[in-house]
Amino acid sequence: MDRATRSLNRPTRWTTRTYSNLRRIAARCLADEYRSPTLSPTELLHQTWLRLRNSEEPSAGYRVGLAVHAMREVLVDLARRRNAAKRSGQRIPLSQAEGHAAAERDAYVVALDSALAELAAWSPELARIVELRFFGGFELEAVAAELGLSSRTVKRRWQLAKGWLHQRITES
Amino acid sequence: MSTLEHSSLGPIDAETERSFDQLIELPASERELALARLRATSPELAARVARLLAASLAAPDFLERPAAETDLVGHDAGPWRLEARMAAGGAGDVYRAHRRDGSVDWHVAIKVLTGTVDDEASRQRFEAERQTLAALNHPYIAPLVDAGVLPDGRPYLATKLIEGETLDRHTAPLALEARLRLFLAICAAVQHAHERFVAHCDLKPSNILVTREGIPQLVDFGIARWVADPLRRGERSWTPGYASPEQLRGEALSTATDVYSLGVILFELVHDRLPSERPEQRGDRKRVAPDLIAIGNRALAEQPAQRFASVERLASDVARFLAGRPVTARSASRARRAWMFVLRNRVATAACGIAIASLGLAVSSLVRDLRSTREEASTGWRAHSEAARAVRFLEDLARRSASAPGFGEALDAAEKQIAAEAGIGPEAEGRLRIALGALYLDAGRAKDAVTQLERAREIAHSTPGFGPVDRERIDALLARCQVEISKATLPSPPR
Repeated sequence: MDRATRSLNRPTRWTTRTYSNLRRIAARCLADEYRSPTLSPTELLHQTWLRLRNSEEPSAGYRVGLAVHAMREVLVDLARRRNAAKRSGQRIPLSQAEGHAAAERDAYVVALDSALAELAAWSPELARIVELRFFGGFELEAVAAELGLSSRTVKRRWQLAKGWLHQRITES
Repeated sequence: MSTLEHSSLGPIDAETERSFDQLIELPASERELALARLRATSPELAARVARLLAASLAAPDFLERPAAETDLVGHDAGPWRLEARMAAGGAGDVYRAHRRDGSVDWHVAIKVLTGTVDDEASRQRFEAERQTLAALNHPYIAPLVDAGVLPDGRPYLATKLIEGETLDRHTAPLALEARLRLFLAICAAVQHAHERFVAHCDLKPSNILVTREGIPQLVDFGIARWVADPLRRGERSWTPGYASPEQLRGEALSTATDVYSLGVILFELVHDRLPSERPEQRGDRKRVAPDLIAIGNRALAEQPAQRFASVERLASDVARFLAGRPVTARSASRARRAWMFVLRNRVATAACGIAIASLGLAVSSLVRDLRSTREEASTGWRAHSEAARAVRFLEDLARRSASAPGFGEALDAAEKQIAAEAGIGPEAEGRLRIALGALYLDAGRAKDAVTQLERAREIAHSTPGFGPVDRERIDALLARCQVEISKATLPSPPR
């Protein structure tokens, strides 16, 4: 288990404080999404990352892990809320570009979140790759650099994780 | 998702993973065969792997679009309609786009940058950046076609759409020498930009495309610098693995940053892995010539002052290695290198101040030189490397003095001079007209630029000395003229 995951499992005071800060920032960034319909996850990550730059925790990898994890929670929360709003017949503000495909994506983001939790139970590394790629918006190249693996290895592992998650989500 | 709880799908065991890893890397045609072979020996394992493979490959889009992503497909950016997203990156997303009014039928790549242009200061800064980028005219740099601001305030840049593959993909089957030759071409493009005071600051294989003809095309020039604005200096838009130590520390960026990133690229071309990766992570350790290792080490020095003083120096060392001559990276002492860095920067600083009094004068002496060399030897333009250098020098000087008073008049004088000279030969005339066209465009006189470029195009199509790269450059410049002209005639930008 890498350091980031380990630290997330045993929260220190620093972690708790930073993590709630991060969540707040990420949530605010996403609220902005309704005004400007085009916020990329990378930008969201950068925004959260910037707040973390001067914090006392020295490991960059750990901070990225934390930021991506916070984004995941915010995005899943958001998808859950939109899902619920849709069921209750409330109008959801969607960007023009996305159309109603975004509504389908919400259901899939929620399903993925729980499948990913299961994946993490037996392979934290695979889950970490998916988290960075899907919730963090990292290109595979950047995931490789982040985890200190070769792009080839990351690409193979990404495909393996996708295979497992796809089976997991579609079989239910 | 309560249904998930009753699932039978468990963890992937090591054996399944190993087989999956082997099979996923095979071409689709061989995969079936390998699977059949596996089925014969261990049917249960084969079934597990087959299910995973099917699930992984059946839905190619699954998970491929990040969760927070929303895109601009179907929207417009100035005169362009965005039709598909090609890539997403730290500095912004890239779209394939075409002209809405159908006036030209080719495509451009549009990069929508992060950050907003919503006040006078940022507008001026973006305009300055646009002009700097437009001044880059190199056959290995994807030319800028248009730039503008979206309704939500985000700036965009339109460059020629490059059909090619990324450097790492292109070089995979190439031998070391071919890789190094390509590297030299890339250095030439970066050097060209540095001479115009533009650093790339995010050089990496995915920003270097190689066309089917094997010509490198650098994209995303200056974008990292735009994104890392002085107020948020160095806080974004670096790529882990390729970013220099000073970039990671958030310090000011310089051309030394590009030397470092080129060092990473060189290292990758030579070793097939990143400097940050351990050798065993990508197969066996390769045998590498000590000179190449020395060049790599010097480009990758922690302190900017310890690196090659310029991209040109780095390139010339690689060229020396290719020619079997001793490289400087192994000889220069630390103190000497530091001294050379200081010296080099002093020269660069002095060069900024150069402004020429009369461009017309420079052109007339150039034309005279051309005529005399032509009389001496009737060989083609390519032989007149002196003359080619002179044109480049002229362009450089003119660019630096583009804002000086009388620039337009100097161009007109130069134009008359060329028109009056029948003796300089079609190839020299063509090249001079390309240079003039680019300069007219810089001076904001797109219509005059079109006249020069149309003439250059006629010449280029009927003169053997011009290749596809020259014609592409002319077309790219003409496209930029088109955009400038349509901007001037439209009352207000649509949407």
